[in-house]
Amino acid sequence: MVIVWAWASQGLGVGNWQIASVNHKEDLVVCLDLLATTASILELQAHLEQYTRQGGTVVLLLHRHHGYHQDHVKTLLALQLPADHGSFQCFLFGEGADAVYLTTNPRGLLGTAGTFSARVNFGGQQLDVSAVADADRKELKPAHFNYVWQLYQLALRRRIFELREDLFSYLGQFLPRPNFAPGELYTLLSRPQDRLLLLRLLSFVGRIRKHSDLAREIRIFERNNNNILTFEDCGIQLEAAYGPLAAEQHNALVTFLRQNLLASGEAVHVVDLRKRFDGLLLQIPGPTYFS
Amino acid sequence: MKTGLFIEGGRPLPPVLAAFFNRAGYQLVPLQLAQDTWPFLVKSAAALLLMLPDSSQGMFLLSGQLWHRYLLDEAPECQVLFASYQAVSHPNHLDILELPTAPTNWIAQAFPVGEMKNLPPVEGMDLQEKLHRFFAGHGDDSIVAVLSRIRLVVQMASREQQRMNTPYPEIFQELVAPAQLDKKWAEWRNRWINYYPLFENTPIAVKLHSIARAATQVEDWMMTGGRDEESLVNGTILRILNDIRKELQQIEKQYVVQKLSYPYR
Repeated sequence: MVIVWAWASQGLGVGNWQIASVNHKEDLVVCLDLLATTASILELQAHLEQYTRQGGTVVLLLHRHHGYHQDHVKTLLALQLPADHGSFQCFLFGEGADAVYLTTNPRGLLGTAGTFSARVNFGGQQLDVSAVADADRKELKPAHFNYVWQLYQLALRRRIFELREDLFSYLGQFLPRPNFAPGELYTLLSRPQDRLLLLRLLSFVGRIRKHSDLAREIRIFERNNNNILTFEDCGIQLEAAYGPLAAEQHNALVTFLRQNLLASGEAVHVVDLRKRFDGLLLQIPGPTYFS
Repeated sequence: MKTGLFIEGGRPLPPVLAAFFNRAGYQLVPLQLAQDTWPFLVKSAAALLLMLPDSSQGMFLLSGQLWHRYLLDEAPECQVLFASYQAVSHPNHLDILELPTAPTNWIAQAFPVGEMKNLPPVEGMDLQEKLHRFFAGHGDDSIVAVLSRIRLVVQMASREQQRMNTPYPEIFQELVAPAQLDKKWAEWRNRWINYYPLFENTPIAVKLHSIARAATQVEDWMMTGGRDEESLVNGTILRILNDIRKELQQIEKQYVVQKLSYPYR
């Protein structure tokens, strides 16, 4: 796991951390403190090449406050690795409720000010939480590493699954009608009480531009809900991680939603809508959650 | 009209589902797990309807297996029925988007709880598996193992004081302080707060809330490293830890040790 964050601010600084378990001998957390520049992207590409050698898998996390945005992710995801290399995924974090933070999630990794430890308030009580197993040996607790690793590995499937469940929970109130007239759903979703669902759908179809009012609005929802609700670069991520069929299903669903849920295209049949979501999820193998 | 209980699990019951059960001669009543009377209501109900997966803690959770276990033990006459927005085929599962046209027939064909060979393969986080990890998932570091280590220190300190009349400052110096109870407790507490809110829509929710309240009562003593003599000498700390252990053992015995004889998914 490569994490670009404010390591050098006053914390433990840049470096590599092992995971304190015999089962994690080949796992590593690489801490980098690189502002988003052309040189940094080249350096990150070199790291991706290095750590995917011999079939290695890399999750690269980029801190938004270091200047990283979707274009950087796209550039990195376009990196062509040699055939004998493993794979990688790349995500932005920060400005929201990311589970990588110990303050958001007791099984997270990142603490305060470039550390792996934090003091959190739970039910009015202050608790010290730390992902460090042995500071001298630079070792992290396996449970924290596993949690964050699996969270990001499963991130795409889980977020799409949760959007589907929430969308159909919402549509459930209008059943048993099987169809919605052209434009009707957009009118319904535009009600103030349904704002969050509308924003998630807009994010899913790529209609929320970075630094826009909508982007700020959904980030506030993320913070308040303590959950990642956005779908930045979902199509590219899906293609990189699961291949062209996943990207194709994603494109088909996005087009359908844009035209018929978020505009006045054609009538929406709820069972047909579900089939489209299921078709995409089918192309993203693996569990939705880990226990 | 028969009474059917339902657990929304963080998701609103769609009116179409209430109408479906009405047509089958059932009145759906929400089951409030915060009320002490819920076990009696379940025993006398004709059916328990679960909206799956539960929406809780920012995730979609599957409580079906825990409820199935509970009903087998406590209310075998109560039918367990499931409803979701997923295209799942199972005699006890209702696809809310495509409800059967004959509700009475559908309910008549659903299996009684004791005859279900499997549960509908609804997608979500399996709480049965989560509970298993809660008790045994990290080996020596399981939530029960950490609590047992804490309890052992308290038990030894209590015995030393009661049987040997050793002054507490000495016990503290020799036994309690080196055990670093504050750190052990913080570790336990971190695990605990991670897990127990996930089970709020399950039959063990009341027991877990009871444990949470008990844990709060020993929090200060633990976080000061066991420095306060009186709470240990009067037996309060050991009694609370024993209560917590007993509750956890009961949950483990019913839902973890007694593994179900069929695969869930």
